[in-house]
Amino acid sequence: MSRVKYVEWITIIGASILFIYIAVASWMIVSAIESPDREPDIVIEAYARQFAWEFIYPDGTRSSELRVKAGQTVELRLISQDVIHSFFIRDFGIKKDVVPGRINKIIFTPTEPGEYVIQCAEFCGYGHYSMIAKLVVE
Amino acid sequence: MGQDSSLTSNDYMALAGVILVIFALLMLVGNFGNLFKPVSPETVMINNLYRFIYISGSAVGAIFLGALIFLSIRFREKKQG
Repeated sequence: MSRVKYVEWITIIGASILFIYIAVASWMIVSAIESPDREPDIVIEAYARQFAWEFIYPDGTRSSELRVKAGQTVELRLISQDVIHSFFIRDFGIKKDVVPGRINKIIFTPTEPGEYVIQCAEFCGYGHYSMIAKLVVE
Repeated sequence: MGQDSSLTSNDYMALAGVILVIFALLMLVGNFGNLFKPVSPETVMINNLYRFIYISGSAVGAIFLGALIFLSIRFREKKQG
């Protein structure tokens, strides 16, 4: 086999291995994030409306701030009261659309105490920029 | 025109050097693929995947850019006389 052909085959096989690995790893990670094998410790309803977030805890408490404990597996049920929004926490790599008429879920387990910013990542009107809330991990 | 089109071992070493320099620069610019500080098991997984993609993408990009730069210089048209 000529040297050119040899380089060509190395490129094709190398790129294929790389792409297959990335595809399989991505699929496994997305599956693990979307449907984790553990049960949530707490289920919180997150209501989105122009232009605010409201969180309702299992005991009925309402707050504009999401407050959870470190190490606690949290399930958020995302409910829109008007238009399409998107729940986004940059530090957690979480982003999910909040669509009227359906309940989307996010499950995550914060491990680092601190304060994080929750934003709307879907343009939802003139006040979209101000649709910000705080996540406090205690 | 009329240049020697064959590459010597010095040329291959220069090519490898250019590729390594570009790769090192990309690693430094991208903080070795550490995009953010992971704060949950999910972000650890995302960060690991991002780091792998960044490093492998940088390697591929360094080979491409390195070859482009090296070949542009090595086979540039030289002035006659």
